[in-house]
Amino acid sequence: MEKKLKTLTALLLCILCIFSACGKGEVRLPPQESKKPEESRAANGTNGSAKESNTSTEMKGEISISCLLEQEFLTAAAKQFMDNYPDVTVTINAYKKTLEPGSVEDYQTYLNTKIMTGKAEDIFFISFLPVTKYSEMGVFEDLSKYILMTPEMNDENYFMNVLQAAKEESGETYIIPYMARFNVLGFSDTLLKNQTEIENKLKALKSAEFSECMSQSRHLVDSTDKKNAFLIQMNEVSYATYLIKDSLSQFIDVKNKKANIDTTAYIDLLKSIKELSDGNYFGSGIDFYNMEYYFAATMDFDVQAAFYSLDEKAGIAYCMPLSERQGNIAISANACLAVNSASAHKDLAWEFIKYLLSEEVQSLPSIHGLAVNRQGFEAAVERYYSYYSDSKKGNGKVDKAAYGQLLKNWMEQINDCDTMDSAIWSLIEEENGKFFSDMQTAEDTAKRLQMKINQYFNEE
Amino acid sequence: MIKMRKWNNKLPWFMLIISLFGFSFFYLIPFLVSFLYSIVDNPINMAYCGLKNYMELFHNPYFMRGLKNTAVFMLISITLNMMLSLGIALVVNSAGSYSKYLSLIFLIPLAVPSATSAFFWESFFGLHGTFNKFLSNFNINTIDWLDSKYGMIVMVVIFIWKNVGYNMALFLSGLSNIPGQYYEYADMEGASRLWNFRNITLVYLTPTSFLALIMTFVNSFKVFKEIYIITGDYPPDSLYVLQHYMNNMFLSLNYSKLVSAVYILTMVIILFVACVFRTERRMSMDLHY
Amino acid sequence: MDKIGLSRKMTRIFYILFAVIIVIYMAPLIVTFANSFMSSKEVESNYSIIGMETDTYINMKLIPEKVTLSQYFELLFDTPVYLNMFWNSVKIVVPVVIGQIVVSSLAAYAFTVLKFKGKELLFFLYIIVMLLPLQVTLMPNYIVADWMNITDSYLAIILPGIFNPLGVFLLRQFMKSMPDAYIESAQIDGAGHGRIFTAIALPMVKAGIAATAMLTLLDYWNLVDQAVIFIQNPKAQPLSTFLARINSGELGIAFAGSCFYAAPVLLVLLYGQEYLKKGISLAGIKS
Repeated sequence: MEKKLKTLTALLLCILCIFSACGKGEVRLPPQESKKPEESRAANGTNGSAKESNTSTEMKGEISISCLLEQEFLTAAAKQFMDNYPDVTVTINAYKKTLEPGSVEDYQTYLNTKIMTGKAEDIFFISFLPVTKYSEMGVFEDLSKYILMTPEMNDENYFMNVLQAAKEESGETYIIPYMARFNVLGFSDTLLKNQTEIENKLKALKSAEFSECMSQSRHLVDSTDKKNAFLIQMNEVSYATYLIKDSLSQFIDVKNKKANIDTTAYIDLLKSIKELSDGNYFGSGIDFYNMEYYFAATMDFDVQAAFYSLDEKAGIAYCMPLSERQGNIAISANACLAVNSASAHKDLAWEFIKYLLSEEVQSLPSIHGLAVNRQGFEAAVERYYSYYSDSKKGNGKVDKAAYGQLLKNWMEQINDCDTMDSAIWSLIEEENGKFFSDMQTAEDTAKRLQMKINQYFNEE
Repeated sequence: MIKMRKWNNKLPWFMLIISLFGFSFFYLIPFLVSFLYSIVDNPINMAYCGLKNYMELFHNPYFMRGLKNTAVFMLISITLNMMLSLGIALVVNSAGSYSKYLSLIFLIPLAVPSATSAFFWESFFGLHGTFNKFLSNFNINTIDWLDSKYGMIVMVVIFIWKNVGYNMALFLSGLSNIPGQYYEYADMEGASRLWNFRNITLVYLTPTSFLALIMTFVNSFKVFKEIYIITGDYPPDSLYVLQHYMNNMFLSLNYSKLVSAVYILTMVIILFVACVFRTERRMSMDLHY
Repeated sequence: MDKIGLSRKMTRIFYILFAVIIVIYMAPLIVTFANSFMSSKEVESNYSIIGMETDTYINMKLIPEKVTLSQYFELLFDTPVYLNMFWNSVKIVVPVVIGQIVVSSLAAYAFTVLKFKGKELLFFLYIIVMLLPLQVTLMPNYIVADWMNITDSYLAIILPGIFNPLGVFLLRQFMKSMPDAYIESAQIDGAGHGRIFTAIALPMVKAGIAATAMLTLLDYWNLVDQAVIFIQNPKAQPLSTFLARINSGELGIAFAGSCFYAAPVLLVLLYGQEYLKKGISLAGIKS
């Protein structure tokens, strides 16, 4: 008798599922207000709800921060913050001390479990986290209203364009950078000698569009009489990645969740790189110690490139920040912060983020990059200037003011943030790598990538 | 005296309660509670949406592909596994003094860690693998076996390699359980070997077979680990099983879909186990020890 | 062999097939074992497929060019953390196995002896939950562990492990064939349930206990997902996570590591499979 009941119930449930699949009518109640599971358990922290004025946030409570690796400036900042406000406790949960293979995936699994069970920390450090997926699921709190409510966040004190680099079309800002990091493309002085035509073209560029610059580099390599002249010091896979980033919207439509990779454009892209590689434009197999070699273009990071471009003896000219085809210069999302939308201490978390963006913290040498706070930026410029001048990395003299001004110009051109999930890049690089190692054809690569990226976007 | 009797009668209840408590606390209640996640659309803002997730799942091509692959894989591999392991158990059983070493050989695959065996099978079946090397001697076209439509066959091979030993051990123990006298009676009546096999061996192996069937079912889910190590999050179509879907849902923070998929799977499991249960019940009635 | 019902000829054919099957079965282990004696460089030159052209193949060699213990040395002495992780694995597995056996055998006995309405339904529930994949119970386990404040300790893995329904299922199946008459006669003789359990039931299911112990050992020796979530301290990680991170750079130690990893399990298997084969000894019932 019980057996029959069991089987009957099982059958009924199955039938119910099948009907619900076939039926057009939806069994749906109007969605409730979003539940905040943490609020009922906010034992220690106050909700410190600052309404209109931001001066009334009670500096009392606990906040926790989650990051992949330990950061010196973060630990120092937390300590100082706690000294300033004795009623506040800041806990830092760093997942690992050093980056090992597999740490990123492990950290994601770990963080996902915490987020889904509602036990995640209040502030996240975005190192390699899939930003688009997370913001879609509503993990991050929209920070734009906080920025508005903070009067000291203005163009006088901060590079507002950088702070709001991750602003979405609809106006929300989910992640906010504490530091700017971008790539700069420069050209070889030696190869540019007597190439006025190319020089003029480069002068006309405002920012370094990768494909455009590479075609100019190609002209340089082709028209020089020097032996061992190569395009750029990169392998084919990285080169392909940069080319793809250059016209990303053509290949991957993030908004509509579609990949346009199985197209002639992509296949031609791959094949052209292969041609370059076969024509020894990448200089694989260079003996760096015994040959004289020239790279038409060099990719470098911000502070170093600025120094070399001003250093006449360094041999690099026409340095410009890397941009994509429409001229947007992007910073990496890995140096950003976000607030957990399910946090019970959002206001306090924002206070801490403000502190991290303040002059005090942004001037710390352990911020390994260009600070977003203007005074911190000046301090960073000083630091890097002394570092590069002292270490005699270049040969000529560089004017400090010019260095600072160059970097500032570049910073003010930033208007975008690279938020594409690193998982997609891994897929792209893996498949491209197979193509460049001759393990599969370009058409196959395109097809497989198309399928995989579509799956990544649409699996739900 | 009577008091002791009473307490003693209660003893089994205590024995059960311990396990029941832990089981409910760590397994049953979490499982039932997770149903809640399947009727909201998002684990983060918990907005009720009824059975929408289930509906969407059935229209989702990836889920359906995973479901189909899982079903096909299980059908093939469980049948093959049961037959092979029974055969091997029969042979090992009769090997006399060598049987100890023989059975150990078949148990070895269980001890090899997943990462190592995944690496081995990848090196064997991959594009530059040893299997292709062997085939190239016969001038057969070499392909990446893991990536082709034969991927399912590779998965079955890996599964059988790893799990036959376990079922064989169960069958061995079941075989030694059969009262020898039945064979003696049958011999006296002049029965054929086949008759022996069909009416004595198979019949008395029923409870063990039931056990082996359930365990094979459990183990067939575990082959996911090796496949995952070899092909990662987005395997070729023929290797995409339900766990890939669930794993990817986990990584996309979509716990709701994950749980919905699990509940659908559970329905299938319930049906399967109920059938097996009832058949075993009926068949065990004939067994006399 | 006559008893089981296979003719002599068929047996011989089976034996030949067998030899082939045995080679296939031993292959991964033999290859791993042999390769663990190769130097790192040799391993890499044989197995690295980056940049390989079509029609070249991996060299799965069985005999190393130069037999060296370098992998083992590097494993044990250069990365001492490996030994540490080994003990971590042991620290997790031993409590789980012991706990499983104790809890499950008690429960299995209770299932066999008790009669109450809904007993089969309850057992049915045990089976269903046992068949569920890992991800489902992982998240609720996290919530429970957080509530109990044990998220960063081995307990979060050990406790669910002890109450895993697998043991109950296995042991109950083995205990089923314990006839009622046996129990009644023992009770008439004045034995209580406790005594019946220890003196009759347990010895009868030795095979079952061995099977449960081995299965649980294998399951928890190989766990990776739970370790990632519940153990953050890198020094407290078990061995399985290390092995799961084999990348082409570390292929060298990976083989030696695998041997090291598989050795204790093999030993346990060797010892335990005797019990498996013994089966339930019913000689006692005759009397």
